[in-house]
Amino acid sequence: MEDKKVLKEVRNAVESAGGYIEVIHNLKEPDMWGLPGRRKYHAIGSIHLENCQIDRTIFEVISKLNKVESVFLHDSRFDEDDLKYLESVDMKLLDLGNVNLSNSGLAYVGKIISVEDIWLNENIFTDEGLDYLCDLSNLKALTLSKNSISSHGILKLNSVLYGLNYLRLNKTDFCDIALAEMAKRTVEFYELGISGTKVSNEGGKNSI
Amino acid sequence: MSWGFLELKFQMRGVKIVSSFKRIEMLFISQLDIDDDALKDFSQLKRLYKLILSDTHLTDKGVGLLVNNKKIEHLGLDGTIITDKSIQNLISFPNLKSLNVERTAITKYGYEYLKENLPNVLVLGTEI
Repeated sequence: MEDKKVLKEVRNAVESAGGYIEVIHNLKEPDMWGLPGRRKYHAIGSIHLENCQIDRTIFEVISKLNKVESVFLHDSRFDEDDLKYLESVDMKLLDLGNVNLSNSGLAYVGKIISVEDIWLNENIFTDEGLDYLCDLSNLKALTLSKNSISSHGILKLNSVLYGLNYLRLNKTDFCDIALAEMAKRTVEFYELGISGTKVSNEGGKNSI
Repeated sequence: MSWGFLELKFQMRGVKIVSSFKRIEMLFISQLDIDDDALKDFSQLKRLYKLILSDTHLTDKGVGLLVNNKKIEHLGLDGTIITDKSIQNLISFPNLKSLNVERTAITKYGYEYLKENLPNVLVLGTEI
């Protein structure tokens, strides 16, 4: 259970930036989230800071939480160095779509070991930055669509790929040979997105 | 997993290798340089409920290869070259909830027929 003072502080900070939180009223039903309202709540289910300008103080306050299920930051603007404040928070989903994330920012993301689902679409990192994600051993879902990354970079995620069930690589330079390599390594996909990539009918027409 | 299966899996090439992901439920393979041949083994994907094939070279023959994927709920065929010949196959998916046939060669009459025969399905088409 989170400290009531911390919960209030996080709510105020998030709302001051134009975002909102969803809370868990009953810890016996952790999947049931709702808006705070007047009812007492014991934990935060999700933090929504999409399309917001987020300053350091807000990240500092969020870092006081022990746990939050999901953090949505897509289309927001912030200093990527402030992502270091999220390293200590236990979270399952982190949405960092279209936030101008570079390789340096990915270094912080790679330290959020608890994360199971990461959205990293439409950013500015490269193959080199993907090295930082290699220790995310709990990852089940990864979205890398619309980034300037190649098959070479994606295959560097070797151990991570092995545990993934959901992979979205739409509009990247992913190719046939990489798909064949991935088929050798992956346990099972439930979802695969390879739209607008170099994957073809017969394969072998393009190289990594 | 048997060695025979592994051997078969690694003989596959290109997008066809997706057929080896037996548990796949959602597949997004739009805007690829692929045609009907890519779907040859998709009938093995028994859990598939969402398939997006927009802007590929899929024809009526390809739609015919999907009719055994009975679990399909969402089918994206916009921007393909399918015609009214696919209509009987398209109305045979028992669990269909949404179908996109925009920018295809399906006629206004074909589109109306689809809407009439799929009353519980969200059908998107081009009304010419």
